Amino acid sequence: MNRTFIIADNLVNDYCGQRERYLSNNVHIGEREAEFLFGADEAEKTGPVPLFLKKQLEMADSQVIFLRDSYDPSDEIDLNSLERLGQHCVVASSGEEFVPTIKKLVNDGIAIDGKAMVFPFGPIRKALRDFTGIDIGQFDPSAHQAMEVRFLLIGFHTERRIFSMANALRNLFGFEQVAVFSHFMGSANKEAHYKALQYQYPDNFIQVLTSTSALAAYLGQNLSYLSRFGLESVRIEPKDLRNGLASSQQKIIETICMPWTEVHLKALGNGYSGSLLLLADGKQGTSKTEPKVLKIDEHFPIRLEIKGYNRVKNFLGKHIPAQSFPVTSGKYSGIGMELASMGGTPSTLQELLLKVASEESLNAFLKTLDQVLSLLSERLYNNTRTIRRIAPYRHFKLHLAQQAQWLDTNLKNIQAHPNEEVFVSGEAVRKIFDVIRKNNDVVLCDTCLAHGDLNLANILSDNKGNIWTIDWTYTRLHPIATDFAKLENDFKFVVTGELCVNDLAKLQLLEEYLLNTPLPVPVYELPDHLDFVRENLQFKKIYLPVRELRMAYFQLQGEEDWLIYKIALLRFSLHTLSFDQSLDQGECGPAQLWYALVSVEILLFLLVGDDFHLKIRSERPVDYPTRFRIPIDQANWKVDCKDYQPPYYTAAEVLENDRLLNPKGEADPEDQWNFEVPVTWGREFVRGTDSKPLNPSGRTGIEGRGSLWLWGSNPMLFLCPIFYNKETGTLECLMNINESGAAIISVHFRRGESFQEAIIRSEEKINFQWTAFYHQQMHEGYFYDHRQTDHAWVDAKAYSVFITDESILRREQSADFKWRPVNHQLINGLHSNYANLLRNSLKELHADGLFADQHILNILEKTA
Amino acid sequence: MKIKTTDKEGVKIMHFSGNLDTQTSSEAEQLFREILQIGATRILVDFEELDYISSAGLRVLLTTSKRLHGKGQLGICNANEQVKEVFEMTGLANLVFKLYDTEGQALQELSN
Repeated sequence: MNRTFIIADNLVNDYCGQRERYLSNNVHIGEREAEFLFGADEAEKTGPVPLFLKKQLEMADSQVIFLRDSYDPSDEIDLNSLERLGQHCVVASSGEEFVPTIKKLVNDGIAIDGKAMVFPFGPIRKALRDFTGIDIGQFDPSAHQAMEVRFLLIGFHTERRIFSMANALRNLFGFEQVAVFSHFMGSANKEAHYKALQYQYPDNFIQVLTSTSALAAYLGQNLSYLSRFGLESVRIEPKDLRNGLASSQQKIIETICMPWTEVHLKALGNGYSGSLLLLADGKQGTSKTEPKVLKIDEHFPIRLEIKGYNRVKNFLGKHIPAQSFPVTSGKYSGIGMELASMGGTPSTLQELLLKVASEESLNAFLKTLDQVLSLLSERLYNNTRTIRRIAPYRHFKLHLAQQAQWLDTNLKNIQAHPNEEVFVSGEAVRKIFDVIRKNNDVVLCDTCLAHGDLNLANILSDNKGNIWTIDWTYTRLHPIATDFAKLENDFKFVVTGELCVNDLAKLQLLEEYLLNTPLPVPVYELPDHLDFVRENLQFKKIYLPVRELRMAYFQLQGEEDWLIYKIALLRFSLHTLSFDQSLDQGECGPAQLWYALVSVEILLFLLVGDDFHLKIRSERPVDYPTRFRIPIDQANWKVDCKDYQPPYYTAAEVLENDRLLNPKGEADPEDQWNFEVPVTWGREFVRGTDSKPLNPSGRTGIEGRGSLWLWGSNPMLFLCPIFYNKETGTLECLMNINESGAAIISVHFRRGESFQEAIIRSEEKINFQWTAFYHQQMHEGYFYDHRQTDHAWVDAKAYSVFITDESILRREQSADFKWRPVNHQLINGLHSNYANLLRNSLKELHADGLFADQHILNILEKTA
Repeated sequence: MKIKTTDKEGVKIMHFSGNLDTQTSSEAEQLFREILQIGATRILVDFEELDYISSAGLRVLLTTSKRLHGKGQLGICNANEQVKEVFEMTGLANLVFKLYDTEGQALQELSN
């Protein structure tokens, strides 16, 4: 049977009495509240507390403990407490007596006298044992968890003794059902009272019940007799928003806004990301409170949010709201952030922008935007600037295979919206995206502490000139361009919501101009074909804020290199493609989606033609020096490249294996390079002025041989021996594992060695005759290899080998060779040239229908 | 750089010779623009006599391809090893314009 154990603390005259002489007591709750809660002695006026306790005492499965302080001034310890805490609950005084409406109930329950903040362990242990049979003295939390007993604590000292008792029951003795009822609790200190109820109790897994209905649900009782007292939670308005809340989200709002009687909520975000961002205007009676921003999300994002606020609060001061501790309920956490608006009415920049209907209001809006950008630039970005090396496409997560899948899906969805104004080649978009997103070259980049998700709904301002920025979940070091590009993306697609598909042709012209012009000119200087911008406020609402953003960005950045800005724009435009209103995935209608797609297409063509993309590849082994990167214009040896000053590198291992100095060595000597071309299937090449062989693919950014043993062509045999383990349904590949990681097995041809001799040596090396198994040639000729240099490159023959004899796996191998399960982690960890070989082997397996089809497809999908 | 334009089987063929680089790219872009303005949708660029293409030249081809707006085709034929190398290195080979070994192969596909 489910039992209810109620602890009522200090319902005595010194705390709750109504008579004047007790009002001087420093823990008194106030005369009006005492009268309301406890009522007079006449039955018809009895307050909710005695009424509730009387009903509980009448129930067989409920028990009530009446706990009170009791001090004897003749006792030295008690005297110390009285001196410290003030005169109260003195033995035999009327102050220690229970209030009249409670006094008559005490005999039906259990009265326990205690002192100060002490948990009266002995008497409570006995009472609980007598009532439930549970002995908390055994300290067996796992047994307590299983017991069907719930605790309810009411009374005074919210933040002290009641909290320590509730915490002990919940977290020391392990009872899962421990709750307090906010309406039956009080404290001398209002701030401490609410802080305890809002944060400390929930944070310690103690339930805070804020309404009669919540109390009834907790106790499993009908408490309609309390309904006339109006013991309710803060009223959440509007109704539509309230009805859309999950119960734990509603609970969090009720807890954060507990001191208010009414809260009016307004959504600040679209809610599609799963988080709730709300502006809360509160009322206490008829008085308006300072507004709060509420954010409710799963626990981890809220932790990030708090971390973000802590990172920026000292830079932005009053321009970020004062943040509370998190409140948790179910799978959600929430925080309340107070905006000190001093009577102003905060609005988001998005609301302000959408209200702009005249040149005058647009200018006012631009002034606010300028203030926001100056604030962030001067106080945050400028103070946290750090130069870092980043791979831009990887930084914005464009390299992930999933991005391409999302793009495919979004392209199909958008094509479903009819439009005769613009044409975008989905095929070109898809192909170019696949090319550029694989670029993992690194650039030096100005980074700073930035918001990371700055949009128009995350900036608030009011009619008193206050500005706040909120929602700092993604705050960390970002490229400086990030916040500017995110805001630019937002301007374009918020305003386009006011336009229609017929405007797309003009939007395309505008976007062509904006993306080809780092710093847009003043409106009156725009070229003739953009006349419509001058004449139409809607287009100006895009153009002028974007110009403002670009000016602020370049003022900060101090140069016109905006590669990172464009890549950031691409990232955000791609994201916008998914916000299809018709699929209930966002707020974008057809015009916005098409505009985003137009933007993506223009950006992709710009980026694939950008010098950053058109530079020689910089991939290299870890021991190599950084490659000297030059544009492809200068890669060809025929083109003069006066500035080309690559580092020289030949690995120590290669020098030690000089075959003229070391009898076991197989490497060319460092000072002789005029050897005959070793194979006929390599690419033709020329020699430099010093007669060194020159890489036929052009300049590579490193002179010397790197870790390749021969000058010029290094013929190699690459092998991918793959075994299908039928028992586990997995594939395994024999790999070369060394300090640098995993690599495809390769055999260097020695100078003068024939192909057949190299095959025999390869079979000795891996200790089985691979040519006896089914094998397929995957490549012959020049082979892009990350080890290549200006004077040494690889010509390769590569084979996939399909092992069908399980005993091969048990053959003894040298320490460097190991069978490894083939999965996406293995392939994604390889250098691109090796990854391609292994992927091609899998493709062969799939094409030939030899092994597990779906398994291979899964791997190929995750490694594309 | 010289550009000679001919028409064959409904395909506009542009024969390039010399270098398509920073100095010559604007001239090439202007010519492409004019060809597009007169409504050409199938364009073949013959690089048989082109010695060198720079990034600026590549950008002209990209811009033209984009201006076709997917309503036409841009092909490239007879590219020498160096030019092919550039397309390979940049990943642009057969990306937005198709590479053909000979003019005949290109015409066979583009004229259809």
